[in-house]
Amino acid sequence: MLTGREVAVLPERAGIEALRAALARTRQLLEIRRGDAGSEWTAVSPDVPFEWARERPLGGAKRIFCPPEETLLVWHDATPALAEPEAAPVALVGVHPCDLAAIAYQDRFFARDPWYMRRRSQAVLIGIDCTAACAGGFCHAVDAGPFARDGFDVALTPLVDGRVIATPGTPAGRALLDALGLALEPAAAALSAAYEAARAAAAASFPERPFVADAIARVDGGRVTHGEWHALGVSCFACTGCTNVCPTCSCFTVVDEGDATAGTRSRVWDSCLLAGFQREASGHTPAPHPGDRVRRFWSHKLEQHFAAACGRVGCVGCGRCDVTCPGAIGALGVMARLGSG
Amino acid sequence: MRPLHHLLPQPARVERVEHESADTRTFVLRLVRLVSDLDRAAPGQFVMLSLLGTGEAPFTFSQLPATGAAPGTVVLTVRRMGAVTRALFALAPGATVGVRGPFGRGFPLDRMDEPCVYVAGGCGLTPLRAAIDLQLARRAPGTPVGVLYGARDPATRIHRAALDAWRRLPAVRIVECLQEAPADWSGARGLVTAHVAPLVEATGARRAALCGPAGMLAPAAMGLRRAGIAAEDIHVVLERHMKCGYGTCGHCYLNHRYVCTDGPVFSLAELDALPDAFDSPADTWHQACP
Amino acid sequence: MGMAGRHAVRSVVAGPLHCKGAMVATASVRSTCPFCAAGCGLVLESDGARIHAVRPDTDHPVSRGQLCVKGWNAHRALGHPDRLTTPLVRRGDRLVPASWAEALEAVVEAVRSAQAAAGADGIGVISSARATNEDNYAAMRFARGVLGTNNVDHCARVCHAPSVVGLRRTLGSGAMTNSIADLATADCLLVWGSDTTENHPIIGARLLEAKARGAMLIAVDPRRTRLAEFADLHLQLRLGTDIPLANAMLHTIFAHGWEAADYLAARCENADAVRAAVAGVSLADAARTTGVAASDIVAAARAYATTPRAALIYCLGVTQHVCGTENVIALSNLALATGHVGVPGAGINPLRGQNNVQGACDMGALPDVLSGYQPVSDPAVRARFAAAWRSGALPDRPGLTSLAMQHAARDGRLRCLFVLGEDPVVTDPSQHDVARAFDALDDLVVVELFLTETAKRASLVLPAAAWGEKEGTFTSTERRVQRVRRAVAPPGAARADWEILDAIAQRLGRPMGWTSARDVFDEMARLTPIYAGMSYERLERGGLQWPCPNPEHPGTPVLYVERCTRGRGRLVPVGDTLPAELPDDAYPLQLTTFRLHHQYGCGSMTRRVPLLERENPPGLLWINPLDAGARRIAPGAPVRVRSRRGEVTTRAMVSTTVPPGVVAMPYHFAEAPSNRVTNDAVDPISRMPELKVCAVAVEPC
Repeated sequence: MLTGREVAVLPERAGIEALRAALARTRQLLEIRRGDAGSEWTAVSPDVPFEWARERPLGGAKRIFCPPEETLLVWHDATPALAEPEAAPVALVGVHPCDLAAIAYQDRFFARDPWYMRRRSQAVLIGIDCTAACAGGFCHAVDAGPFARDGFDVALTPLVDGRVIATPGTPAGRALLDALGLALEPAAAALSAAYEAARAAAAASFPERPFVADAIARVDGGRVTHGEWHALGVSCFACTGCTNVCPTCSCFTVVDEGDATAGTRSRVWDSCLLAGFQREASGHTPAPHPGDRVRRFWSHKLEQHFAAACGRVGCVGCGRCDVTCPGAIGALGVMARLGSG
Repeated sequence: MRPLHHLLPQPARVERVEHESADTRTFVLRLVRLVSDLDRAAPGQFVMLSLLGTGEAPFTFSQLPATGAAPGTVVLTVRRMGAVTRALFALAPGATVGVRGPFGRGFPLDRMDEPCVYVAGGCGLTPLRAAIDLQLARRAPGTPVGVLYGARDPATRIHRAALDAWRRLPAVRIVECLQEAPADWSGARGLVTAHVAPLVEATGARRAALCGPAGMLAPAAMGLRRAGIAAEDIHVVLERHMKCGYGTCGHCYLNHRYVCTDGPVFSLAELDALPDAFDSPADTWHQACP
Repeated sequence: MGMAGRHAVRSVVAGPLHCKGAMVATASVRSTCPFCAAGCGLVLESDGARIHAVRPDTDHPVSRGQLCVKGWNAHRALGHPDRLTTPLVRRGDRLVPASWAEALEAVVEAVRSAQAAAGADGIGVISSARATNEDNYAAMRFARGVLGTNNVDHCARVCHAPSVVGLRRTLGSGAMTNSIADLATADCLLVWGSDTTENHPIIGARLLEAKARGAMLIAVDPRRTRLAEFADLHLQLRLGTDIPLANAMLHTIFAHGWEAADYLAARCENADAVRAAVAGVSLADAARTTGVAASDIVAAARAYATTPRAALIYCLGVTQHVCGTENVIALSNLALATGHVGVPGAGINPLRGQNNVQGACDMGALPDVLSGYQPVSDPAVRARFAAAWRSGALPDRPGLTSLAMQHAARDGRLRCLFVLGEDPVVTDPSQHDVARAFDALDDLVVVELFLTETAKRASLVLPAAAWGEKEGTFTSTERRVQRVRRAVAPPGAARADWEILDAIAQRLGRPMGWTSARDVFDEMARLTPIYAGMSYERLERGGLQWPCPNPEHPGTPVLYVERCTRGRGRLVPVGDTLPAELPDDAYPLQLTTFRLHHQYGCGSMTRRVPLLERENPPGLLWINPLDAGARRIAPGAPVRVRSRRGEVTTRAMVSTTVPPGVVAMPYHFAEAPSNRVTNDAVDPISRMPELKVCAVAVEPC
């Protein structure tokens, strides 16, 4: 809902260049570019124009704040000290709404974590609403898009007429727009209507997937049978791809390198789909079957239980797991098997 | 942000090592710098024991300043199992280790002074020991306390001195039970589950605490419930693999709860809402392969 | 050897982002997974000094954004502190660090003295199926053009030698005929002795894709594998009864007239001999021998024969038998009789085990052929290579196989051996003999990443660059040649194998004259017709499948569309051969070996990755609950496995994935080496040891 919210209007898409230039004066710009190794978050110069066509990168923004490896402790003389990430100010320009929702989720999850917060506090997030569904995305079904709701410093909404609505989401975002000399005014009815029309068009571009809501309701209600989970478990190769690419997954293991005198202790992405994830030193594990582990993963992604702590359910509908799962049990794969309609 | 002593292992020296059994020892660690939170820790809470270059593992306190341990010490009873415990057993007194914590939710101490039974199997007696000591220290004279402790055979019994000391106190009933008992064993025999109901009856217990191997928890909890103790008053200590201790690493997930922060002590009423709390009877500790 | 220019710096884009620490620009580099031979595409994310993460390449034609858990963790063994960073030379019983100059001088000394003592054939080179094509080609040229010997080989012998020999007889070449993507388009999949989802996970994913599309899936395996769980038909044959099963299927096909008569007439030879040979097969006997119901044999035969797009996929369950070559021929008979060779969505598809075992063979790291399978016995071939190498006449007699080199070492005929990136002391059968052979050498020169058991016995150890530290190419099981790229510098003084070999060659006065991996590749392509149309430019995206004879050729996804390498496909009758050792009262169970999803080979890389190592099951002997119960073996309990050759102790995994009477062990574990009990009886044709079946006794301990 835009009505009543204070927004600025860029008369044309090129208006984003002034925003980028302003950000680049104090921060490194990070944008999604399709490079030689595929689509990924890349450090860019403001002199190169913004690329509006952004493919959602398989390795998302997660790794900027919650990297695959994070050094926690360092010791040289048997006395450990907390390791500090070298975090420099950055601006992420063009974050997709699904990833904004995911970052907001992790912000709450890691609110007391010094390493995450050190990285995160250095970042400004400029979101851009998606005006059409992407292949395999279903953000609308889990309330994470296609338009951003929150989690941004500034959200940009491109309209069909070329104008771009800039909505500040934080005081920092407001200050940024102010500094550009953009007038922040309550959205007029006409602008609000244009925004709603764009949102409706974006929402209408998603294929009909009635099984999604049904499957989520069944998982959330605990109405999926053990037999069904077991059948899904047979399809799980335990590749760890889903947890690696999931923008809200953050489980880690801890690895020491070195010896008692000099070394480091780091946390490294782990995966709850691995048999060893919960196995205790005695050999006992509370999740002995692949189906148990698949159930645990999807419970954590789809159950409302977690919304209380993290503001929303764990799945943001980005569809990355469907791309990377060799067993065809990414989110839509699972939902198609569990849901009806 | 989290307090530093949750994030950074606090140095402690191995002051004393006590033999418990062939694979279990009690380590008395003296903190190099005082950590007041550790001195105030409650029975059932735990620390992450850190050996630089090897790793960390969670351990509950077997004794606490509140139960008579010296202030500034951390007392852990440890069974040799994995890499961290193997390295710990190799340390001599004077060696330095690290301690993070205390973590987790311990026993609800405000309701300690009621007739109570403690049911333990194997090294599950360790987290209960501090709770038993505390209740015995605080109880109104004559409040009955029962301890049911099961071990495999005489050689695997731990905390023997504490068991002997408790046995000498009034209104304390100790039932020790061996799975493989020698002929001259005067105590109980078989599985602890068979002895739950008589002890509850004998002590008139209205509360219970339970800790032990995964396979024992469900039947013992069922026994306590059948003996008439309300689910809210049966407190179960759960064990899980842990890496952080403060609800971030994810290893101790129990449905939508974390054992490290929501537990490790849960009431049976809470566990009733957590379907993964107990192993299903068909599961064994080996991995089921596709 | 420089970084591939386009990755190092970009004009406008400073680089992608990921960091242990800094939120600053770094580099992402596309490469190829170093584990199984599926050849999945991955991206190495580094800061130039250390690789922090792997992500799947979403644009890759085979893996399409997917990886298995080994691929996701492929980088973790690279920056490992155990890596060798400097040459080591032996001083008495110790290996001490040395400079490259000292080490190379010592190598030259070793070569000269071996040649003086035993002639050119007094030296041998064992190359590696894990190294790049460039390294293998360099090893091949080093042996033949610099040392003047054909004593060059690599480990293909213990996985697919029967395929190479068997399919060479029936089709003319031992490679997978079709493509991985092509398998997903099949309408019937006959998967024989391949635990595809565990050992070639992304290929397994494509098989499941075909299944989900509606293809009929037939799994032939004594174990109940994941694929068997999905299969429409699981033919759970008794160990070592592959030929009776294949012949019974062939009998059924001929008996019902399901064979491809036109295809047999137009494209094959000797069909009548095979038809006659299987005419007398009794289904009832076959069912008794194999343990597979006659109705299932008929159903499988019918589905496979009558589906136009029916692919046959097989792996080590077929080859690692005393009758491995005949097993392969029996399957080839099935494929030819039904007209499934040279057809999209079909074919006969041996899945190679290691990332570059196909390439090592292609490069001529074999005693009898130069690169591209050009025989050393052909004078025209020798002349062409000798001219290109300016090396003088090349040796014309086939050299020694790696096993024969060990014999020659024990006899004193071989005095110096180069071992590049293999660990025969651990991976070859009968460990004691290997060690004795190596100890008998005057000099053992080992080029390695880690101080392996073999390296510990060396007189010289030279530190090698690993796959993420050098440029090059791998050739996957589907004959796809793909680029491997440098993301970080090698540790310390480590160098690529080809650089090391060239440095030795220079000191021997016969420089090979390369300045980059690209030079090596270009030279190889010029001399190798099946690679002739390839260049690093053309391999830039997605690679090319050989044969690719000229720069305009698009590569060959399906072999033998017009004709087989040998012209007509040849059917060859094969009779039943029983396993060399059958169960008896003393050793009542049959042991088979297999591989775990999260481990690879001897584990020198995967066992150094904590997440993978943690996945090891608590027990390593899979045993059926009935057999376990009869022996009072509880899940996880310690057990002793005894055979006539030795014993190992491990723990029990009580599991219904093995049938009663069969136990199974993965082979990756030095602490429970299955090779201590397996049978060293070999296939007389290919010399493949029978690793898939022997008789054992199991008891609690």
